[in-house]
Amino acid sequence: MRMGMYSIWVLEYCWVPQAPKGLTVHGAFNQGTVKLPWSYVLIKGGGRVIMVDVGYNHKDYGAVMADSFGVQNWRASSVVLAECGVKPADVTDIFITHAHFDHMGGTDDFPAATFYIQERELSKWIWAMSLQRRFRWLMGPTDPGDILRVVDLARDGRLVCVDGDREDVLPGIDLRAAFDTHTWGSMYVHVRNDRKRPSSDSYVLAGDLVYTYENLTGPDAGDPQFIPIGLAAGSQTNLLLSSQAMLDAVGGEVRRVIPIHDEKLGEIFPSRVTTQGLTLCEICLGDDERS
Amino acid sequence: MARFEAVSGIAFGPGLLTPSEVLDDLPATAVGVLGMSIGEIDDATTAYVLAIRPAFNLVREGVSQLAGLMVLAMVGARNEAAHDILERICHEQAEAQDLIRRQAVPNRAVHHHRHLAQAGKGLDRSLKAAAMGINRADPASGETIMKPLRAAYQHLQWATGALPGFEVVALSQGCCSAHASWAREAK
Repeated sequence: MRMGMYSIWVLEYCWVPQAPKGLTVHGAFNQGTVKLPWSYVLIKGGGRVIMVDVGYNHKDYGAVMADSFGVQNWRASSVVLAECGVKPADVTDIFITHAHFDHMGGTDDFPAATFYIQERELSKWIWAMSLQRRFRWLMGPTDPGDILRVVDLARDGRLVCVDGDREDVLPGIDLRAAFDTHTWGSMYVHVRNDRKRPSSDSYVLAGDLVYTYENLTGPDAGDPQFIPIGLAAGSQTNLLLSSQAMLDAVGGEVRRVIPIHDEKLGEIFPSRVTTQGLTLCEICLGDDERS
Repeated sequence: MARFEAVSGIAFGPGLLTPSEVLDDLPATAVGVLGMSIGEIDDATTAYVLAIRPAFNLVREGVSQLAGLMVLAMVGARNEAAHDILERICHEQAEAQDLIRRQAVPNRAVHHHRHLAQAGKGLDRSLKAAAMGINRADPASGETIMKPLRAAYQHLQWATGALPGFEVVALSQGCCSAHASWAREAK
């Protein structure tokens, strides 16, 4: 494995044993269920400890998620991050790919971090709420409590609202907007481990723009096609265009676009199962990191 | 029974709908902390749930929107519609307060109603403070808005735990969630 500036791990923090496959791959409505890991990403290097998304608010919704939605084996960020020798208080920067409860609910756990989110994700959320009640599907998996916590982050000076792309938000890391896709203000994170542009050693942390590699290849990798995920507040077309943009960013190498909900990630990258039964995937290691 | 029919126009009885069937659209997640499931609700409480849900939703949406406006104000984002949105929240909040005030409350719903009323009052206090202006440079003015807003949200959460049929987050719409029925089958 080549060394670079940053180490990247995908850390499972719970899973859903039976998610309808049609959620992950649009059109697969009669293809049964798949195990759906829920994960976030840890990036270390250059004196920074970075996360992409922070999971859901277990304190408020843990019981509901377990009892009614089949979420299993949730573990706190303190436990999950400890597998990589990191404490939540060590985290310096957090990129929120979109404002759904399972990506943004855990902000309270990271007292020292600065959070980055697309301004459009918040402004369109407010717009959606101003529509008639019959449009409430648009508001689905968003939690008012998350927004209240974000207000506190803003007042503490720990919230950065990004407007579109932001290159080198940290050295070698670009935030790329993917507007009107899964959500209105989704973004993905492009880590250029060689710090070059274009990069020959980079990874894209895709958030929910893809759930599985199948979204990038279709069912026949020999004759690839993009197939969108099952849910878009924006458009499926934009999801396909963002898939192309993410692939372009990594030189067309599919495995470098990281779908955090894909169980196969553990087969593609070095991985292990922790004592808590959660999968830890080692995407790449930085110069000063040991496997 | 009579009151439920008056509210909903739906009759119960042999061969007719049961309360749980009437509430079939309620989120499957909705089981209150009191251990009451949808199937256990009496008719009067069923009528209360159906009648008060619009008020709950208005308060929930008002809390969410005001919080969203606060975020944008705090980060200095452009939001030309802020004034209109604030005005509309105030209007809808008045409607919610009216619904809450005039709703008859059966015994089993007293706990829920108390929390919902408190949530409404908290939002009302926040809105009054916000109407004076959201000044991001002044932490004290921000706290005048945020403190009752946080309390309102907390009361909404308690209300969801007090009776089935209410949810702060539409978790069933979560793209990553197994649909509730799948989850139950898995169990």
